Amino acid sequence: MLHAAEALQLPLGEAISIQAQHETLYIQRQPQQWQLSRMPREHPQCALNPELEIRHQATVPVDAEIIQRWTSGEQESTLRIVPAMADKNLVVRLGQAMMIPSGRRPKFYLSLPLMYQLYIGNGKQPFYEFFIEKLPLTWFGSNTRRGELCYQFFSDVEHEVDSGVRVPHRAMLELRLCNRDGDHLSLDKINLPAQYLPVYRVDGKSFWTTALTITNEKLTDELSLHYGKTVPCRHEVLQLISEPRLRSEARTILRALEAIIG
Amino acid sequence: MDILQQVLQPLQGADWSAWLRALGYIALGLVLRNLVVHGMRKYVDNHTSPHKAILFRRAMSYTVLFIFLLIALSELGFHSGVLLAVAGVLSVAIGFASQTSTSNFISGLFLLGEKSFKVGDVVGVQNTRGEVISIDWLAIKIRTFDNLYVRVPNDDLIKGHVINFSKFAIRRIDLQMWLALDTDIVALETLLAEVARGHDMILSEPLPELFRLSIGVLGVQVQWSVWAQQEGFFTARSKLIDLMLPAMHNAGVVITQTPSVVQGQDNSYRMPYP
Repeated sequence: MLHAAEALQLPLGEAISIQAQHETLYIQRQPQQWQLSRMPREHPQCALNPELEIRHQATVPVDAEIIQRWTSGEQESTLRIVPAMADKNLVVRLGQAMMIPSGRRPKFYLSLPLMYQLYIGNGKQPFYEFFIEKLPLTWFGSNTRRGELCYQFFSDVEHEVDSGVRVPHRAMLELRLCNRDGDHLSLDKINLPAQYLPVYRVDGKSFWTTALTITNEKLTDELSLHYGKTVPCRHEVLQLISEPRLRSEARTILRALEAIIG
Repeated sequence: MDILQQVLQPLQGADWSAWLRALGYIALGLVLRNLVVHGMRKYVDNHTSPHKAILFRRAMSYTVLFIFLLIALSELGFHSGVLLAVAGVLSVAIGFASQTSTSNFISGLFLLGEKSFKVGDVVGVQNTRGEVISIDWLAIKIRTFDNLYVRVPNDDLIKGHVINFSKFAIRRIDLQMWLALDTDIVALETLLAEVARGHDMILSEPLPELFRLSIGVLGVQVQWSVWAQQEGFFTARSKLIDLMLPAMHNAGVVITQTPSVVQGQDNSYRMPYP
């Protein structure tokens, strides 16, 4: 079984396939180039296996749609598959709306969908990125003029880290919501700044990201976001898998209330 | 004539070394202009919008050349005071003769301040729709989708309506149709929501909506509105129609009429993105 972030050596002409929820990706090494193609799955299936479903010596269907070609002019035999956070912010829609009482600071756990990046040879830039589960795009903002495009997913928050079944291909996030305002804070969706979060592998099995604290400041319409330094769970072996896509100068940044909580 | 003679008199007294120095200054001006323009290109491109960068580069280029032209002329014996006086007289004369250009120039300054659009935006002006390829002091240049080059004077932009299709990141797709009176609109709404969910380019929020517009002899008029990214808008709309029609056909929904499209004089206005 292949662990993501490990390198694969493919002989010339050989292909592997990766099963995503709605499609199968085929990556084939050809003379001086790599070819990526896809085939929609007849019956979309949720991934239940925590590891990537990779099949070696796969046969690329004739009618597969070619998505991308990596042509370097060299014989590169290494393919790396690296999990990373999404390339846009993630909007989590909660199954049930939540209300945070004034002056409280509850802690939750959420699992964030991971993107997988494909690298060929010693390339520093991925040549393709994909989600295992299909995430729709959504607009997050106070109106259709001000806002941003994000990926949307549905999830319920867990109060204990081991209270729920782990969803495969996701990274755990410890989220603390502090309400310093005089009023209760009601929310049914949260815009999570995924691009500022790294991905760690903990004890060689699960993925985690650093803790995030969102504070509703008193008497202002602003929220402060504080990024933790490391993963909040107990671990023996901690491996940084991918750096944040964007770096913030400060660990704490201020954002408008409507930019984070819908 | 007296003024002209007074201006040209120094040329008769200039020797070959003065001419050489003057040419040297002009050559130096050209070199310096290139150096200045290239040197600040990176900074200007990174810190301003593309059209401001173009205008700023042109202004700098003309300023440097003008200064060195003045130095070259003074080497030939021209007095800058006389030159400026002549320039003043000429500018008043030219100003009267070129009121339209002046109006366009002033309008251009207002447009710059307004920031209504930038180079690369898709705009609609009067009956022309296309991509803005240049914003200049007197006019903007548009490339229409059937690849025509259109110059629109700045004055027209200030006086008339300008639609910027690229200003916001998302845009609504509206599809209007008349349906048979016995159509189950609620079931159709559910069906269309399912179609939208299966489409990668349609946003899940703002939510797709089926508006009931009116009831008439043709049946029930509805409008299905969904949101898509500005980028790839027309592809999203085409794909949506491709998905929607078979789904409606399979569900037995009968479209009685769609709004007719009146043929316009300029086809480029209705043409989609290239």
